[in-house]
Amino acid sequence: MNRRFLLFALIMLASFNDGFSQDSLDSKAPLELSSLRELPVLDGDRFKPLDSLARESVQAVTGRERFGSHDPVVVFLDWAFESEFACDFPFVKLPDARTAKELGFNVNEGHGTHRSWTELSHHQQFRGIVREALKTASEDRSVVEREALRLHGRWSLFAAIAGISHKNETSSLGYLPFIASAEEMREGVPYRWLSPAEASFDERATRALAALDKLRLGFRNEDALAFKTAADELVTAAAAIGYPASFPGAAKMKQEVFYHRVQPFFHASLLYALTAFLALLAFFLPRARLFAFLPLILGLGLHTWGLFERSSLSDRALIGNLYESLVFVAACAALIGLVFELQKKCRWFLLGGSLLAACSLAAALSFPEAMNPKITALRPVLVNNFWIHVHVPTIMASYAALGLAWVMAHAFLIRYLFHPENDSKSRELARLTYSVMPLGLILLLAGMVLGGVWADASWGRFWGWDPKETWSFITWIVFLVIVHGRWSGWLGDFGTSMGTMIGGWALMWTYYGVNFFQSGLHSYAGAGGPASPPPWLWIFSAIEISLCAFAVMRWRQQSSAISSLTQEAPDVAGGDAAAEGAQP
Amino acid sequence: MRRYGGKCPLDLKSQGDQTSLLQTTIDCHGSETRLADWATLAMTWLIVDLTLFIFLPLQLDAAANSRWQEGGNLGFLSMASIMGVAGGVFLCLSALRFGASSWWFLIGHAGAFVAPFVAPAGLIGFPVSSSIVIVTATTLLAVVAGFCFLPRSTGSGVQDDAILRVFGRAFYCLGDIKLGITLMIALVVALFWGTWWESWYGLKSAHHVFYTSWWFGLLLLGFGVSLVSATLRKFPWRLDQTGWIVVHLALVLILVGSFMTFWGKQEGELGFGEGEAVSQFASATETKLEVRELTTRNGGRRIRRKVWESAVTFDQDPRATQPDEHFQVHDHGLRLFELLVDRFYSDGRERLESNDSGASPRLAVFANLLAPDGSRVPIELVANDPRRVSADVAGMLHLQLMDGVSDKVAQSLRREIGPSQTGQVVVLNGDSIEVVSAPMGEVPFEIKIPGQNSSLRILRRFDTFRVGGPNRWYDAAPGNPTNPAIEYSWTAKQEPSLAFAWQPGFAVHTSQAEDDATLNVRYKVASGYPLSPGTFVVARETGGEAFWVYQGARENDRLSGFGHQGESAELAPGLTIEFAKVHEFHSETPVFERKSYRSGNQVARVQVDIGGKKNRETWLPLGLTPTNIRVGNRDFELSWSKTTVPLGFRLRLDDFRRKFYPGSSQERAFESDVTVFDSASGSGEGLMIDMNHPLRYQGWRLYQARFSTQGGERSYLNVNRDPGLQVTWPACGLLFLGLVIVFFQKPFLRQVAHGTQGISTSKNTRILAVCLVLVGAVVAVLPGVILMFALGEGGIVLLGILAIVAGLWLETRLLNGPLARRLIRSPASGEVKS
Repeated sequence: MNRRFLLFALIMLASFNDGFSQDSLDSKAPLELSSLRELPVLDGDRFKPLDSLARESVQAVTGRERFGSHDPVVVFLDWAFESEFACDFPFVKLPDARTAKELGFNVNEGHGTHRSWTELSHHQQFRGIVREALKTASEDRSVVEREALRLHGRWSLFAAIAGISHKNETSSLGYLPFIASAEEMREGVPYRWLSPAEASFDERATRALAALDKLRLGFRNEDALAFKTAADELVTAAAAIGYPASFPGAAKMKQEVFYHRVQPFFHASLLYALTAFLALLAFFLPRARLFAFLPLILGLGLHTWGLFERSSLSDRALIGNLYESLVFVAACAALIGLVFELQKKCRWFLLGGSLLAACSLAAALSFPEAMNPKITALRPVLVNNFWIHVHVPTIMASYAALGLAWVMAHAFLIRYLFHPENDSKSRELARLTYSVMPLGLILLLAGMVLGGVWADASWGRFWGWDPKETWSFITWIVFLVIVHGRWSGWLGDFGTSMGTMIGGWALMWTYYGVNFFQSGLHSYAGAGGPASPPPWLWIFSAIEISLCAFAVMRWRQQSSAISSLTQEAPDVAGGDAAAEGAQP
Repeated sequence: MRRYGGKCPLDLKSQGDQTSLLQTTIDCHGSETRLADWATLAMTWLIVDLTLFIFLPLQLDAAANSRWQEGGNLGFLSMASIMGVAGGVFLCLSALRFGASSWWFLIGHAGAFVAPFVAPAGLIGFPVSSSIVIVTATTLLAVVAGFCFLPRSTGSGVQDDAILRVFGRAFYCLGDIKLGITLMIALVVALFWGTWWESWYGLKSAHHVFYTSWWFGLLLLGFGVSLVSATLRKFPWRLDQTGWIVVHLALVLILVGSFMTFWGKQEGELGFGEGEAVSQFASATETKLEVRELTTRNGGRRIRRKVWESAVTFDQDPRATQPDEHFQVHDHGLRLFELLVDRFYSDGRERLESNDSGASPRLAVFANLLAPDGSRVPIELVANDPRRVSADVAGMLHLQLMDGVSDKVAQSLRREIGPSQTGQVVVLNGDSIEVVSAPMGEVPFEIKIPGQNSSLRILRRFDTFRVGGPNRWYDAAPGNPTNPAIEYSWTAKQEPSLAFAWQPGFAVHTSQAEDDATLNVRYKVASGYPLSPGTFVVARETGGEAFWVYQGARENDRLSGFGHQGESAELAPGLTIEFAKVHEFHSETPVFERKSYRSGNQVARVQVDIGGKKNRETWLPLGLTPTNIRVGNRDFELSWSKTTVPLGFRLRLDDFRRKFYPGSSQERAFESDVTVFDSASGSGEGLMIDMNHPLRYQGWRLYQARFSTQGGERSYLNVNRDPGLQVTWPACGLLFLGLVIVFFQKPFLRQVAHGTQGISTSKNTRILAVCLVLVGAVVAVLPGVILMFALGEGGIVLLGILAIVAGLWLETRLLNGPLARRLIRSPASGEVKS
């Protein structure tokens, strides 16, 4: 009781900073969590270990998986078992500063970017906007209203975990594995798991509820031994109640916990970054090239393992959302880079492939709100279809190949700014850029056709000019133009690279931009309808455009120098296309 | 170029084509070139045949449930497409055989275009097996003919007149790669705008303005012509051009398929509940205006007779919101009236426009409240509308509308019932004639009723009656009459009843004294109708005038006046109410305004012109309630709906199911069990349709689209028929195969084709080599295909794709390269030819 009073006093003093939260949660460090982590729970659509539920919930509410560098399970248990303190602590993440201001929050004062559940519950302006937003049809909602609803979602998720209610908005999360009655388990009837309060009416749950109470007590008193005993007892008691036939088994739970602990994609991205560094070094120290293969192969191995684990856990190919597709693109980029490097032995593919893979992984891991790492079930239209399982990976592989060409074009243009002369290295670089395109073109075409097969099987049309479809077709033609332009001699090395830049933008737009600006049937592949684009997109575009602009300026200088040369010696002038040097 | 002396049939090849990669000139010698040509053709046909007859049918069969597959349909259209190409190419080959005349060159072009369209007609009715025989025979014939004729070609160049030469030259120029690139860029620009247009104006508009417009069609046609010309002008083809030719032909076929789709596609939706049967569906693209005459037969039965209908097209372009289209409505040649459609919104939002010309009395008040701080609050009170019958102006007023109140309520609202009548118990007989009236005394007391055995016993009185408490009800606020009532009983019956002052007709508790006499007890209290402070009431007696009452803060502050239009009243210092409009016969008609250009609630505005006299404009939402028109003494009904298209068979929904993810309420699948009744034989067949398994029947395909639960479960199916797909599918497979050859097999093929000169091996060995490579490619692809199909879904599929690519790559490295090097070793130096 003393400690609780102390905590309460601390909260009253309003010394809300991370230091405080660390103090209160750090003391839970000695608690033995391993058996509790693997406790199966049912969250909406699938069975998962408590560890995953905790990770996803903490991620969703606070915006970070490790809030204040705490184990998510500890934070989760803190919400559930010490809700009277947790609801006054700033756990709930606000939207970005501008939107937060529209909702009546100032991120520069109070608790910064987070607010407590209680504060949000009593915030009149925010709650007013939410009320209005709920009345508006979902497609008519403004950006602020949409953000307010997202914040409201975080707010109510927290309440559901903590088991607290506000006014009439009661909600409680059935996060503990108590099975509903037998007649509810019939085929085709939705059933759900119960929250402890609901389960208290079922006598089969008595033992588990008792264990849960002990667990609560152990957690609150920081009694490591009692906590561990209670956790073990809870796991056995829950299993004794019995799981439905669709429960994948305890081994899967263990596997999922392990998968999350290893963090394969994060570590792979580090290895790729190391590869990129070594490949860069290899331009000065040729021996470093061989050493660069090691982290690349290691990273690729880890990455592939991660992909297989994830698809084995979700029991499907990685086609669920933007996160999964981007992770897959990264793996393809690393693989293609490796294969081409082995074939061409030029260091460029090592650099380009690992850079692209590292950047894609970094992007996938750093924007959890746009790219949710949660493993989810598929929508009805995506289930049970062979073609969608082939369509998406093929398209992603083609994005990786074309993206690699795009990265090579960057390398060419950056080099061109400093060495604009038409030497063997620039010729080589342009040839390398070109050499990835065929693979990308084939895969993209195959992907589009497979998408057509799927669309035909699912909603009855092969091609419907959906924005995403049209844009992948545009991308295909742009790269086709480059290939034909090079064959016909219209495009030289510089032209190929500039064309590839344009192709890369088209690719980015197809993959990413369409989701934000042009809604369509592929919305489940993206952020769910048009939304406000993230600010770094503008910075990125500015860098790209200025790179191209400088390169074009440089090229004009160069070509005027050539033409002045050719004026002096008219016999040398062969014709514009020929001067660029057509490559067979 | 043995046959033309290094020139093309049209004497153009000497100029401007030296940059083409695929046109690297080689100095060929007679028999070698013949062999290379022959090998090219053989390989091309082999690939085409394999793709069309084995690979794709198997694929499609595996993809769809085989019992739904219509083999015949698929077969003959696949045949048709291959026939088309075969015919066109055969004509081109013949062109070269017959002295390279431009005529033949032109005919070849025409053939390549026309044949795919003509061929299906010739094949209708043939069973699959025989059409395979026919097409294979034709193909073989084409190859053999080409083989026999070609060597004897004279190659004397162009000998035609100038016009033909111009035509030929034009066709030749159309195949220029730079023109192709320009067309591709034009296509990209058009598509770019198209996607933006779509996100602004919706898919329907984008289709109308871009994807199905005449200029887009022309662009695609130009693209096709350019492709064919580009392919044919490279004749005679070399072995290493195989992939390239296949790709171009496949693209032409895809274009042909898309044109077939454009002309022949039908799509729509049908919905039915369990046990219902349908034989037609609502088209997604076509709408019609329909006029029916309503007549009442004897017996009161209403009969609708279709008088006139017309397909309408004003809904194609969402931006054209003022179509101005006229329709003359005739009945048996007799002109009835004219319809004028002057507005069309692809997505209309309904708004109610109010007026004072309704059929029945209904009070509506539109007023402005002028607040002390100078603000003006508009107020809308409408009777019989739960949302607008009362309103709250924060902190100032509670407004209420009471229409059709009784005179007693009106009087009590205005406090016209005097204080002398306070607390009176009145007993009325069945004809509302007062039997006795007695002032309230101390409860309980009894009132004698003349002529009756029993008397009335007043048990309790309430100033503010509330339900609850130990005695079922209690007085919540004695001394403050807001709901006065008494509890009474008849001495003969003893059951207590209630009488309310403000609800005199409260039926439940008004009871009879004895079985033979109907007596009603009323309780009258005259402190006026209770209103809480700050309430503003607008009321009207039945058949009377509207008046208003305002209850101030104190008990006695009750103001009242008449609510005429334009009048205003000061309720409190600074608080004024202005009556802007008062409607006595209020009615509301729906009016639409444009919400967006996207496709949503489509709505049109129609005006009926009967002999120069125009009716009021009516809004007609698509597929919803018809509107009535009266001409003379005849009644008509005008409706705008989706055109119904007959299916040709009957379909009954037996059962609809929703499946969920285990342990959640998230839906996993929708399934419909249907029975199909064949129109000819009438026999039924039970089938299942789910999200990814459409029903294929008689060329129609029916997809599970959605469901609704309003008014019983209804399942909705998307219906469509797309003749172009049968061409598009094989063409897509061909395209993929061609690209694989271009990018994986070309080095080998090029080495064989280029290395014809100092070759040391025999022809047969090289043919064997080509076959070996083909077999090698199949073997290389096989593991990946097996992985993909045999081992199911999930991560294996990704592995399968990678395995296919890796297999092809390995095959190129391990088989093709060494084979080519062995074959093409120059006898002199022993070095590999590049």
